[in-house]
Amino acid sequence: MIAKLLWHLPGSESFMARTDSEIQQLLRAGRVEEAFEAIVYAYQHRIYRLALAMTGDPGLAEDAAQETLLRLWRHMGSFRGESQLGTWIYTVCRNRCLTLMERRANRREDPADVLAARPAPAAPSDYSDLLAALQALDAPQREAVTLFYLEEQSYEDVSRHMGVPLGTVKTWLHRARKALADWFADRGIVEKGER
Amino acid sequence: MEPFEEGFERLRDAQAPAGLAARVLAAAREDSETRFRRRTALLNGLASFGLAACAVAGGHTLLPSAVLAVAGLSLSIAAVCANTE
Repeated sequence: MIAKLLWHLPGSESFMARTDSEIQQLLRAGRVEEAFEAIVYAYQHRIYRLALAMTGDPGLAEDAAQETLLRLWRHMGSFRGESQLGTWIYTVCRNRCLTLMERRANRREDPADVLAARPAPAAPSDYSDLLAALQALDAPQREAVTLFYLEEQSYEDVSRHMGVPLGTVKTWLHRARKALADWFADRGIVEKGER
Repeated sequence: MEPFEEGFERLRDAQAPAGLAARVLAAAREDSETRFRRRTALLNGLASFGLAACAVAGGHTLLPSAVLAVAGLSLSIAAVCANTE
């Protein structure tokens, strides 16, 4: 009962969206639960979209988003505000996606698991082509192109988030753009204006 | 605009499945309560042990103090183990 009193959460209806700096202020003030709830509501869709682009699988993306948020919760105390909140969240999400993808790949090596695997829910058709095309890229290229186009980050921000030099980001993006354009062209999927 | 750029534009509208936030918050609350219970159990056990040690050091009867200490520690360990995922 006492434990329940420790967490007075506002109802989601009365919940107000908070900015990153407000969330960081809450963290500095030790109001961890409030900060976490604010993160969940502010970032859940963004985290899910990132996970969707990274994994290409809606089911896995949901798991990754859930695990990312719970991992953030468990490590709220260790976030010192030295990096930007978004960078921290992105890093945790990326690592969860890579771990889940690796786990899935390892499971699929076992034929029994392949047979037992439940089919993943289908992605909506309006971006399923893109998800499939992204899976054809190398992981770093997929990450760079996702941050650049989905998150609309600058080259500099992508470089900072990924921890690689600017030139490397530009090279990855150049290759990714070409590979994606080729992927769509090979399947006869053309620009809207040409249809 | 390249087709993949159009795809990204549409993906930008994708929403996390309904109920994800509620599920995560419920799990976090449970985690918070578990950690609280575990900490309380540990503190209770340590307090019992401390009291017993004080009693022994103060020259009171050894046997009841020792029993109290062992019981306190056992309770504490059992509570921590029960709360460990």
